[in-house]
Amino acid sequence: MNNKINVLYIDDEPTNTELFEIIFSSFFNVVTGMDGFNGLEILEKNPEINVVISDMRMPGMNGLEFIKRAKNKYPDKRYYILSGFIITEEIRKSIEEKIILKYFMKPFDITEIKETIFENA
Amino acid sequence: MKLNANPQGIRELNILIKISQNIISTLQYEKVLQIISDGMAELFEIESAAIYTLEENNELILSATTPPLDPNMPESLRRALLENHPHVRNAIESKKPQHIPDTGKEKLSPSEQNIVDLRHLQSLLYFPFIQEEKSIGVLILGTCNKTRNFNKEEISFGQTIANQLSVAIQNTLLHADLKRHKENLEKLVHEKTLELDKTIDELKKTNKELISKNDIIFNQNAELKTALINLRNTQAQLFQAEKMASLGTLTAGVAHEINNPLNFIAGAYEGLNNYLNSKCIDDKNEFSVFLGSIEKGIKRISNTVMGLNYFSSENNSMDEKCQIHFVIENCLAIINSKINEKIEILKEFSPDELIVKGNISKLHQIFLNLLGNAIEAITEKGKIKITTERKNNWIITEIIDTGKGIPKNIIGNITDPFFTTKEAGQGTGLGLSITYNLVLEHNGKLEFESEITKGTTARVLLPTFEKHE
Ligand SMILES: Nc1ncnc2c1ncn2[C@@H]1O[C@H](COP(=O)(O)OP(=O)(O)OP(=O)(O)O)[C@@H](O)[C@H]1O
Ligand SMILES: [Mg+2]
Repeated sequence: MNNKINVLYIDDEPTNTELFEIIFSSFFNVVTGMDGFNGLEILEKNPEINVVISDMRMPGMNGLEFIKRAKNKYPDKRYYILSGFIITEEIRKSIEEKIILKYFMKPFDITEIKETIFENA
Repeated sequence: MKLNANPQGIRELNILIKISQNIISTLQYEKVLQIISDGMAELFEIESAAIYTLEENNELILSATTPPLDPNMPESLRRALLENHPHVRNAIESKKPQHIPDTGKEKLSPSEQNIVDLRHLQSLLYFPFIQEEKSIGVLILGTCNKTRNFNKEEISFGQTIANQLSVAIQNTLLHADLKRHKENLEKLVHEKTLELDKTIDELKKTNKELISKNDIIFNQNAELKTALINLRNTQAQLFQAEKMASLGTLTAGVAHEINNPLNFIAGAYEGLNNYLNSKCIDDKNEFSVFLGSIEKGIKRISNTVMGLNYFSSENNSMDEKCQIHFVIENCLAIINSKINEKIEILKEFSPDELIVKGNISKLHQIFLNLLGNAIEAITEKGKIKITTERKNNWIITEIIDTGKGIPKNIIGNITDPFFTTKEAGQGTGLGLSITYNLVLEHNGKLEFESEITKGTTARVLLPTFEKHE
């Protein structure tokens, strides 16, 4: 293991997770999952993960529900949402309540994500 | 008095003329009787005369005497019953003169005796006043303290004159009647006038009440009208809200569906870019054109989708910082497909950043509606100029089109809900009514100026975010 930040990215679209991994691996250690349940499993097995980025709309459990559950167990990790939807009241509230630190919109702005994660590290 | 004697005849004539002149000069009944009493006494050279008039119920009234009665004499003392004065009654009933040569030798009733004693009457003459076969009264002439012999001629002369005078009496009576009628009539008119006045007053009052009732009805009517207008506005807003809500759901869904694949492209672009940069390639220029195009395409799609997203904002807060230039650009981007090459868009924006306090989604709706109308107003070639400026605490945006213009007679109606001049199915007529309400929600103003065939200016005044002191 190196000393890069460990990022978990959850998205139900494999293309998104694949691309994310390729692009961000040069800066972070990237792990990806396909939904919230998968994400919780990964977090259980990989305690070294410090950053969680999740898509919003996914089958079974949406991004925010997943993050709330995760945050409950691992309150010290940093959580973000990356979604194709415009910001909603629910997400705005979760930012105010510090459940997530920021909301990114698709198509992702690589520099924005990179810088935010480095800044908050 | 000696009849036929000439000088005597002239004297009598003079007296008669005097009597008739006096009578003519007055029309008062009592006075006429007094004139007759005095005149006849003078004519017959007798000290005492009296006139009784006959009332109903066979009552007599002493109406005049010579020498005259005390005017204060109570009327009750002037009344007498016909039956107590048999000589008067004889004159009245027989309609012929009566003669008492000497009261000392005549049988008199007690009442008659009283009078005779009172005035020391000796010889008495009674002349009935006859009118239309009826006696209306009696003239009594009497000597005092001495008897006098009246011959037949004198008596019949007296009666002739009495007959003439009764015409005069009748005339005054008629006149008095007439006068009374007239007075009655006047009284009646007066009463009726009063009654009428009262009726008019009442009518006026009723009228007033009616007017106030009318006012109430009028007010209620006005209230109903405003209620109706409010109802229509609410209905329009609901309609629009529903429209916007479904539009919002749709755009949000569409945006999501576009953003995901766009994310693939953006990611792939990034990967490709990194990959190509790491390789040594001779032809970098060409590749950079390809990559640049992909990047530009992603940006533009992403911007349009972002613009759509402002419709679906669930946020209702009215104190967002809204950059007016950003909103307008966004609206132009959304509406771009409707703008064909015949329409030229000119922007004269203020160099300053203008920030409105309000709701960004609602501001989008305002400008989309106004721009939509401007575009629809231009049928051939035309221009739409958009200007912005800050004046005191206002941010003023004008959308000036060179379209068909709005006729003067309907310009007051264009913000009414459901008012449209567009063909069925082309316009709901809600655009401006919504816009107007949204501008009001921002505490702003919406104004229109238009000239037919020249074009229309829609002016929106919105409060600045920070007050300018
Ligand atoms: N810029 C303009 N030039 C000429 N006429 C206009 C302009 N703006 C509005 N109008 C007139 O005002 C009417 C009402 O406009 P409004 O936007 O409320 O409804 P609409 O455009 O007819 O329908 P909708 O907006 O629902 O599609 C229009 O039908 C048109 O006659
Ligand atoms: Mg319209």
